[in-house]
Amino acid sequence: MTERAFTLLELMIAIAIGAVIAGMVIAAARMASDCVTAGNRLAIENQLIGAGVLAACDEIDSWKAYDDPDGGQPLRAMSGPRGLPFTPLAQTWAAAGVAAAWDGGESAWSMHNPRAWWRGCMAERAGSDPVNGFYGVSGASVPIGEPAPTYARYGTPPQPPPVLSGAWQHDMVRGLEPALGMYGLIDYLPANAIYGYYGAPNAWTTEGGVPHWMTVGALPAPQALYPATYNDVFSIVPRNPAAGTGGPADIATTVRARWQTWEGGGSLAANVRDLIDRNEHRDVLMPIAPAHWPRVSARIVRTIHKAYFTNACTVAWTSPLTGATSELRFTGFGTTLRGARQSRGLDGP
Amino acid sequence: MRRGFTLFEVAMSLVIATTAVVTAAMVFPTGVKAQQAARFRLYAASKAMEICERNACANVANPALDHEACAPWDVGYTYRSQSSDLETKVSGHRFGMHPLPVTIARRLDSDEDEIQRLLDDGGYLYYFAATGGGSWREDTVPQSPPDDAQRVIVGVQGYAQNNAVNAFPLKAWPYSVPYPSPPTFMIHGTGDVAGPGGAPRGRCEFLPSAPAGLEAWQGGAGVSYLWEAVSQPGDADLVASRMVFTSKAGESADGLAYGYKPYFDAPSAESATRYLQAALWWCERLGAGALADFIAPSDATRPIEDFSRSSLPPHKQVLALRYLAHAGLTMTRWFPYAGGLDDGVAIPSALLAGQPSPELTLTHELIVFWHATSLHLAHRFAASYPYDWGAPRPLERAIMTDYPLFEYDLFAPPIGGTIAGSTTHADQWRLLTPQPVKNLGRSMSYPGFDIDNATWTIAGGGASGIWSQGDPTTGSGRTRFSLCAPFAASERCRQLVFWAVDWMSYEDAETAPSAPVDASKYPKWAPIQEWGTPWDFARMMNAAGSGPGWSPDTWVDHHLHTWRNPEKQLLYTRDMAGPDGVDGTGDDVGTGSDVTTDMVGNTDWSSFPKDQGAAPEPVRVFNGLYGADRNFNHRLDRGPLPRTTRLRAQTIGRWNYYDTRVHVQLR
Repeated sequence: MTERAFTLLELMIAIAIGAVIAGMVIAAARMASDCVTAGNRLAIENQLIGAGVLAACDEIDSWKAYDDPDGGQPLRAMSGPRGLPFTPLAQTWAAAGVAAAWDGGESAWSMHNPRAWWRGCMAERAGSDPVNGFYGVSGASVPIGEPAPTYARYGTPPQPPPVLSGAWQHDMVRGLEPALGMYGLIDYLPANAIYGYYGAPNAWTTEGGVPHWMTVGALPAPQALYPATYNDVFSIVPRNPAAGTGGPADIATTVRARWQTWEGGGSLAANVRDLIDRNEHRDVLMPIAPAHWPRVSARIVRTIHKAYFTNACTVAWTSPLTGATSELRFTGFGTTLRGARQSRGLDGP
Repeated sequence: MRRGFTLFEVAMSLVIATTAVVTAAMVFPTGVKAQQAARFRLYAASKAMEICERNACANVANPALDHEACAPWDVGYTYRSQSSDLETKVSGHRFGMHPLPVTIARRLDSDEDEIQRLLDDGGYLYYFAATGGGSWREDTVPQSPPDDAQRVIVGVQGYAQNNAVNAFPLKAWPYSVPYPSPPTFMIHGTGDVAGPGGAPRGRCEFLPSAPAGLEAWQGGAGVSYLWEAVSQPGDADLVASRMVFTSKAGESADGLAYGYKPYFDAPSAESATRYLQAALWWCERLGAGALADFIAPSDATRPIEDFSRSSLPPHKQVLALRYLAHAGLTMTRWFPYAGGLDDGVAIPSALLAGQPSPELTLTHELIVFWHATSLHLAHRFAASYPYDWGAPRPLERAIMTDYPLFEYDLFAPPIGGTIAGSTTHADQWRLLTPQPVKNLGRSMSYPGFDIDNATWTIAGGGASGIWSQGDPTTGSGRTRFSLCAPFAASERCRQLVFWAVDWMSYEDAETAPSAPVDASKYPKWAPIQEWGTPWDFARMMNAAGSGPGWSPDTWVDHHLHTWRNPEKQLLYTRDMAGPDGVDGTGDDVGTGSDVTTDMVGNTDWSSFPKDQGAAPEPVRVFNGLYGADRNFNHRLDRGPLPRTTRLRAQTIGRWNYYDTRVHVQLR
């Protein structure tokens, strides 16, 4: 039998088939390659976004951006006579001149405990005539260990016996505000607390002795949680604020700032923007990551507004290819300031 | 013989090899899909935490709405749309979750057809607001870059429960007042009150009628009356408490005015003394010597802490000390301690309505004692008697039990009647409580309406009041009350199911109508009359524009967190299909057009929201018939997919959560 090679036609058909097949394989390989690339990119992105979410969740639980046991703790400093959110209470309490130590025990603020009752006048107004009388003299609150205050019209009555006195409640509120600022005050006091106390009358109080700072805002009177936070937002500044805060003194100012969000008129986007700029913690993940990895950051801002403690988290990532930024926003359950401080042992004597 | 492969064999081999390679290559996109699913699971996990956090922690108070009426169907606050279920609380314009249009949801396929079964059961799917949510006014939140999170949708599996009713619909208890304080005086409307002959007629009149014996004061602020004195007209003691507020001409032997109001009108030592005398008079009026231990305590250095020192019912002891302590404290404004209240100020007897008030020597010590005792009694009363409404709760120390538990009795026939201002019939379940409400009294808004004796028709015959347990004809009883009963964990467990689907790629993703809005989400006024004419239903819906400037007469965006269309902020105010209302006819609003001015958004009190009113157009807007800017980019978006296309929704996660039956707020 003679050997026979492929005919030209066969060869051409074979080449054509081979070319088609090779084309398909190359296309498939390219697609596979693209898929691998995309899959890798997505996997990296997912891992980084996941890390961002975890970082945010960890932060709203741990408060490390505010007070890092392994790093900076500028919020434990004093700002003059006032404390910052993580200043040990023993320091600020003494500076505030309050005799009774902070007591946040389980039953300390219970309804049945008369010492926790607010005994003031809900109609007390800044600058108004005290026609309802001087509640400070009737046991509304007289500072523990201090002499009874003198009222211009009424004089100096004796301190009421402890069983009739609101001195304990006075000392708790009086000590907390300069210690922690409004966010901390609201965080520490029970949800049904009235933000007010009676002290010795002076230029900064009503005639009855209620500090003016407690009688301003939406209603010029001692306030409860909802009206106090109805138009006002109280936030808490991280230890490394991003903008507008240059040092401890400025941090202290920001800690005590209130942001108006009066909703009845006009856009207040600039106000909200300012609040976020000053109070948002921004954490860039993997700052020295490879250039082809997306840039991911986790941002946290903690506020109290309309009686709602919010831990607003944003995880943002920027594509290294397009430069486009995407964001995932969510709120989450976190530890309270009080819980964070207690875990650090900052409330002890 | 040696023989090579034939061409056919070679070709077949190549085809097989190619198939294998291509098949292997086809596996790679699966990896991409897996990564995409992982991304969506990440979104879903974040959003699951968010909506559970909102459900538990957000304050959804609606402080600018009527919460009481003369019939349970005339206020929406107790309706299902305001329940404490997660999807009703969180699905609102401020809390970041909106119902997906049902027309779109019906196009989605899913494993075991779970989505369609959920819709069949009356549930909705929800998508997440592009701006997130929270306590901020929506338009102040910085614009969010686009992301894929809106592709994640969620539904709630498991049936909602028969929750606690938010409030008693005929009287929005608890009423709270400061302790101590004078009697509660109510301003019944403001503005135009000048009627014929000086009668208290005007925009706000009493419905169904002014209560008998109403002691009203007419001034620039409106008609004021004393709540305690009209709350329980059958109790002569409470009616007589009007004297603590003000005496009437001819009632005092010396011709002077006694009580809190004359003191407030002209504050002085003398008028303060007469206020105190009136408070003492009422204490004596409650029963000669019944409050002797309070008026002249044997030991004023210790407060009286319970109700054992008087034979009077607890709520009257609370009220007596509330007035007495307040009147006593006003004296500190006029009498100094040294040389005054230190030694004691003589309070002579005053003859009021033929009865003398007790004489006493008022001291600083006694004032402090009254104040402390007032607080003790008020706090003890609030904590011990949650179902005794004889005395208001202390404003300065609100507690959980200020809010009594109510539950609809779903196993007894409802009561029925007519919706105010209309001829439309309505029914509502009757209420169960764990124990009867004592001293229910009249409401502040409707002091002429006798709640205790009001009845409505029962479907099937008969009549009944608002309570179910007292109805012997149905056999219904308190045994049906289940809010305090033990329960298994499974009874409170519901499930969040998340799917991923690119529903925004539909051509009508932003022009599809909102999911149907429950009619009770419309913040309608409670019944009211004006110049003798009750408002009709449309007027109660409009509640603005035609009447005198009785503010607030428009809806207050930031007070209506769980009312209105949940997509309110995003709703379009005109048809994006153009004037002819037909898509694709040339007059459509162009895709990508700026629609900033075509959205309901937020308005202040000076303007009238475009979704408010009984006219057809605002009703269309309220119901979201024109669609909404669902990705909040202020542009009209139309996706490439025709509405005839079905999409497959990929299940990406399930989370169980605890479904409460009462409104709670954690922090």
